[in-house]
Amino acid sequence: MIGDLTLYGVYLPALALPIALAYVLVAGLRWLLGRAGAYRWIWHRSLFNVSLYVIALYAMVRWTAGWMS
Amino acid sequence: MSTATPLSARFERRLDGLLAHLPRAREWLHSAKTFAAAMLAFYVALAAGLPRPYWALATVYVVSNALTGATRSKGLYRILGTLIGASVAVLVLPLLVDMPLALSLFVSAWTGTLLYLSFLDRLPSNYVYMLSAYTLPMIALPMVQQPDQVFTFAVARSEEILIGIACASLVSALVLPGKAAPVLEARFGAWLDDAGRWAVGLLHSEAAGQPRDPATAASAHRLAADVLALDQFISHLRYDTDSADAVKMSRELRMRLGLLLPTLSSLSAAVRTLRATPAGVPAALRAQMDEIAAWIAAPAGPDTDVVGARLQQRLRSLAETCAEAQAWDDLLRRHVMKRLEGLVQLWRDGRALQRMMTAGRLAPGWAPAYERWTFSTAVRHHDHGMQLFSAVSVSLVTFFACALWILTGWSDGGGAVIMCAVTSCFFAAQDEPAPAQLAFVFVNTLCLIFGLIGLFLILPAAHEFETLTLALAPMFLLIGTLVARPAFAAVALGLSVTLATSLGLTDAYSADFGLFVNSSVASVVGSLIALLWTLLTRPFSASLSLRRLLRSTWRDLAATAAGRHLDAVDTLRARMIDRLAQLMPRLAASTGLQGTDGLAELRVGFSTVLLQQELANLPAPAAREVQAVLDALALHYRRRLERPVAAPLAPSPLLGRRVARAIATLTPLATTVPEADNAAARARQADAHEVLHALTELRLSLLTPPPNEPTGAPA
Repeated sequence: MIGDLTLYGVYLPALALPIALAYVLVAGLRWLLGRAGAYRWIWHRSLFNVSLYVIALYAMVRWTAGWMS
Repeated sequence: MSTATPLSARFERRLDGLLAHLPRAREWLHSAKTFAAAMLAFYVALAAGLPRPYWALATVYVVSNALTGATRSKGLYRILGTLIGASVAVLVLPLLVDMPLALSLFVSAWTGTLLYLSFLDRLPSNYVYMLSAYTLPMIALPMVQQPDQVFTFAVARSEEILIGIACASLVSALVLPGKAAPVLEARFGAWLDDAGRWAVGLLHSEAAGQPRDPATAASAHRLAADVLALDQFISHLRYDTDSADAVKMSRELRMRLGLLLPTLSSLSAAVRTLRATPAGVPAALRAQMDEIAAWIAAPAGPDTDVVGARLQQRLRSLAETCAEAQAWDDLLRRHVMKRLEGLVQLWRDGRALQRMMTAGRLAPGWAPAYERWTFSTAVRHHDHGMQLFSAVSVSLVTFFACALWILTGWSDGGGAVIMCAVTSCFFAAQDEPAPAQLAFVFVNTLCLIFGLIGLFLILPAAHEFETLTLALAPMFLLIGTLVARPAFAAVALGLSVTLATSLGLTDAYSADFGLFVNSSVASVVGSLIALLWTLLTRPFSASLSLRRLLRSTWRDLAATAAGRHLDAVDTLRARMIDRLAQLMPRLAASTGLQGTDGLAELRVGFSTVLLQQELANLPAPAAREVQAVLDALALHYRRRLERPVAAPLAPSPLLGRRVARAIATLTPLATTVPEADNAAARARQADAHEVLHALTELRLSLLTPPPNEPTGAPA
């Protein structure tokens, strides 16, 4: 999956797309969790968010690797 | 063992003093976190092969704050500012590189314009504009010899800064995050203490006729400073996780602290005047005041609000007992009660907000006790003339430095221009930038010497990243403890950034003595040019901005009395309070020749607004009298504007006569008791009461000479 994305002639690292997708996904999840009041049960909010992002990033890399290669 | 000699006692005292200044555990923790983030950023930047990894390191020190939210907000502002400055540099440099004069003009105009924009925003977000102001020269000027490289350079610098900010935010959020809530809770307590100390001191000493405690005046000034501090705090708070309620509560508290200023000042004047009357302060009222003072001084408890409501009720019934009379004493007594009621309401709200802050959330059904006046907390007073002047001045000195660079043909002169712009921008918002700039030049020089020692004596011994970290740790850890202290913040920041830059930490050790000396000299010369220029163009002291603040206050009052600005009353009130908050520290530092504490003007302003608003609701004869008062008031402030600031103007007898006549006309309207079921008549009576209070306030703040002060002149 190592390679470059081309966006109207501008080269971007291949990781840029999963990074952006994972961010959108986690932003949505955070909003939902906040609405549900789940954060009151979570000890370290920031650590939880970062971990969530890492998981989401992994999922996005696996997902995009399928149709980018 | 003999008794302690004076010498050893002195030594012990010294030691105690020294120990008190040693960094505390919290500061060491912050420093260690910052250093860890900085080395992480440095490592990542090195691994990514960026040309100037020390920028990532320095950025961590710039944005790090003990509060996670503040680190985030400053990081965001820094990213925005860098991207704006870098984009403009990339766009403009290739176009103008062959025309040095045009490039200099553009760079200096950009710096001045962006600096002006940063003045318009007094919150931490002004950093965006300030940073773009000097990022453009930072990126464009070193590249004039190779303009084709400017894009690479700009991208590298943006990446270095992004890495620094990412590392700083990550470390500050993950490792023992500094939550705003406990800090805010402590601050809420401190702010209320300042307010309470003023209120209690005033209630005790004014009622008993004791000399005024100088500490009371100091709490008043601290309260004004608290209002400004709260603004800065709120804007950082927005970037903390889970803080929507905290922001709302802080806004409410800020508004109430702002309203406490005129309330307490008016109360103090009314009680003092009442005491000087033959009848003095009635015993019932004095007992009431003592009770309120005890209530305010008591720590917050579960029954605070209940007691407050009862006190309010009692004040109401006390006011009804003296409703019938119309002599000046009676008006004063009613006025005192009205202000006491306002104080009790504000204090109830303050305590309620404090309680909710501790609970961590805004109670859904909370209804504030105080609902008389509201004002927007986003409006500021700006001295556009001064701001324009300092922005243009910075523009000019940047252009001047550019010209010097071009004329001398000094290859490293670009560094001087950059430092000149940075030194000018940093301190341009101050009344007297020169002392701070001098300190900056001094620190800058000191850093270069440290950098020299580090670069040529210590760093050659460091061969790997680990040894480098060890070599840097002592110095940076020590500086890091200072960053958290307000008194040292600017110095420590300059120290860490300049140090990181002057060490020139890159992947390969490259100590070129000639290069180092050349760029160091450029850096010192640049800040010296800025300092000299400031001394030449801004020789006036802080009293100039004080005079300008007072004059704009009077201009606003004249305009309000003449009936302008009435479409935006909230804005007007907010501007008056903001101006007062700016005025009070300057008045405290000045000699007091202006004959005002700034608060009287605020009270006159609030009363004028009220009179203007009620004008339409009054019956024709009363409205005519009130209009006459307003006309005389406008005339008074217009004439005040024509005189020098230090020459006080006694209000004309005309104003006094008109106020007295208006009070005489209004009193029957306010005191005739309408039938209980006539709602319109009751509303009219309430309006008349309001107007009467405003007129009393005018008479109190403008026309009643303060009775002899037991302690001499007020500060």
